[in-house]
Amino acid sequence: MLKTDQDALVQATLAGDPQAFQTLIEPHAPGVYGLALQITRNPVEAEEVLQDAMLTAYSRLSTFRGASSFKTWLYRVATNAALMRLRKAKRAPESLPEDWEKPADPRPWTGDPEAWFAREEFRQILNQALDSLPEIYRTTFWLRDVEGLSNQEVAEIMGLTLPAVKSRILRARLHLRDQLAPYFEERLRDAS
Amino acid sequence: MHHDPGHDCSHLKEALADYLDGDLDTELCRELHAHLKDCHPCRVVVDSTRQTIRFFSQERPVQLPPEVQRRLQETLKTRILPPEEP
Ligand SMILES: [Zn+2]
Repeated sequence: MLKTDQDALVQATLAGDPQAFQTLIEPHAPGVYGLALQITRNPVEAEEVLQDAMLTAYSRLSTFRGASSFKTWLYRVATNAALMRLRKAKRAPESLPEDWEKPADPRPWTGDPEAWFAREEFRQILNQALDSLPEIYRTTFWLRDVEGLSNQEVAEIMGLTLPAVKSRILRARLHLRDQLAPYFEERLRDAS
Repeated sequence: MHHDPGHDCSHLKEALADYLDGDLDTELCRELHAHLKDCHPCRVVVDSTRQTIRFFSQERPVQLPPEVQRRLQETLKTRILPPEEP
């Protein structure tokens, strides 16, 4: 959506046209749902977060200043809605050991990427790896590397400093690497 | 095995975040880049981490299940849209 279209839709919503709001959020709904799924890892809760987020976005739209993109702003609203839900459910935030230990003898992943993708359990392997990440790392990683947002945008959404975002993403990437390594190093052995 | 300060594995942790983001223009990243030429384990970590990122970045975007879409529209309609004329 062009920024000008977006601005016009924001203005129209604020002027009292609810249909404009539907048009404004429509392209972002799948992303918000995906984000909520990453935070909650539960489709029922993710749907509730999606609805909360959109209703909150509607009632707070006048606070959207256009300094960030609408998407970034909306994702921040959604993140807060999801985290509020986790807090209510009293799910304690988990963490990873601060320091990552470099593996003693890492072996290269030199199989054929096409063959990896073709493996039936490929998506399941990725999902299990994501599941093993504590929420704060998973969400940060997902926004950066799956959604493809910039470090700066992720910082705005998560309410973190840029260095904090970078270190969280690195920690997540290395953890996922470690989780995937046995599968893709194995491949090398299978092939030999 | 040589251990001059410019060529040890500590650069991996210090510079990897920027290195993976392609911000190669810092002293630390240049040192890491040079280190990778000589250090196989560090190179394996960098390559496999890049591969990890590639795997996830190729995930298909999340689709909104149709029933979730429908219930969202209903919620917006009842909570936001003005009631339709009878
Ligand atoms: Zn090294």
